[in-house]
Amino acid sequence: MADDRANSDLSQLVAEHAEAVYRYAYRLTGSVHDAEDLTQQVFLTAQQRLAQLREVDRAQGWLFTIARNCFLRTASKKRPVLATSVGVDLDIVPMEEAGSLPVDSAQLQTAIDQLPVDFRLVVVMFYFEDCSYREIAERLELPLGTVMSRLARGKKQLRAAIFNAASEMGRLMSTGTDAERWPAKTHH
Amino acid sequence: MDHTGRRQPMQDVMESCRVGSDDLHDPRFAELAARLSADAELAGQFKRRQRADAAIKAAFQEIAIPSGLVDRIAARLAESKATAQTTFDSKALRPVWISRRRFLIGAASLSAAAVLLLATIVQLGRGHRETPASVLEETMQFFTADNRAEGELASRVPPPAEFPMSGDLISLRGVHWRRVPRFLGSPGVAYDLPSATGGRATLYVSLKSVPGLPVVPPSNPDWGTGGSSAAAWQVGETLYVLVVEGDAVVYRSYLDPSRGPLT
Repeated sequence: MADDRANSDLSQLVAEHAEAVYRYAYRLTGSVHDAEDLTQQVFLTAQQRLAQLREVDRAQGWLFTIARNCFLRTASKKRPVLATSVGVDLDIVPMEEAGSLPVDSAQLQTAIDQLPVDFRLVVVMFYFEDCSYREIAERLELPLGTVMSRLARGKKQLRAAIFNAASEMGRLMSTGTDAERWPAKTHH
Repeated sequence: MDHTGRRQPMQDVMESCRVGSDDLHDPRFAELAARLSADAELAGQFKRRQRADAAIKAAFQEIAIPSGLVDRIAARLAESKATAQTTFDSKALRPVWISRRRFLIGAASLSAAAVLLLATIVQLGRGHRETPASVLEETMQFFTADNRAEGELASRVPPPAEFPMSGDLISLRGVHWRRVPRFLGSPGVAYDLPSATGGRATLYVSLKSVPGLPVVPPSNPDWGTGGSSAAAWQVGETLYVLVVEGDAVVYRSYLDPSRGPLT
């Protein structure tokens, strides 16, 4: 009886959240194959730990947490190359018009893949999960200042990589004026 | 949490503010909120950041879903459940209590059968497919015969990267590692773990894919006879088998309770 209920709960979890988990996994891993593997691992883990899920409303967050943990266990030891070390000036990212930065999903992924794992996690949690910096700090057990600093650096690197990729494709042939540049100055 | 009182650069504060949220009401953003109303240039920069964030945030969700994904997940879950059930059933068939005489006869017969089985496996070049149950059985035999040669202190000599220590176990000082050339028919590494109870505890690591294994160590060992407990799990292509001399409590004392999701 309890077994049937667990099966039914799990089937419902898969039906409702498989796609979201896959998208999340794809943004973390950067490949279709790895994302599907990670998604399967997430639901296998959920199957074993279903009893831990006490609030159904929080199922998606719970599954994302499993995804992050599984991802961290298997994350490549290879460190991505920081944009700062390949000659990208992070502070000079022109804007055609405010808010019209062209963002292609594939280019976005290339940019995410270049982020070190620590930065990638906070950036994905910020944009994908819509987590506040406080929630990120709580879930990753990091100091608030560390999260804010990683967010700032990660987002800056992400924008630089997107801009670079777009430039290479000739999509940003006409760069903006100085007034339209990303602010280079740090305001204290 | 950050209790250092160190002032966060304004740029970091702006970057931490989510688009379309009420984050500006957060006390930590009070200074930013005040400056935004007083400084038009800063307000312009903030607006551009927020618009760029909105574009990036929208792109984050633009991912095509592979067809048949849900079906494949369901099939994998069913396969895992069936394998676990088979393992459970075979364990249920084992007698709960047997006499010492029968135990000795049985153990001798089992040992002989195991030796024969191992010899056959070696002769056949290990062409068979492992199952969770066979992995545990063979590992227990391996553990029993393991002479635990003195290994390298992991803190002094790093273990081979292809056979990493499991992140699901607690961090311990004094862990030694050694190569085991023929663990389950393949090269592997054994981590000999320090023990508070005096019993042996070894984590075997190998590159082998065994369908049906969990991706994290189970809370209770899958094997618990002869005074030893064991469980196996699989992380990617890496197979882990933890064997300890002791009961489930001793086994669990090696698991890191902070790992894994909590609601």
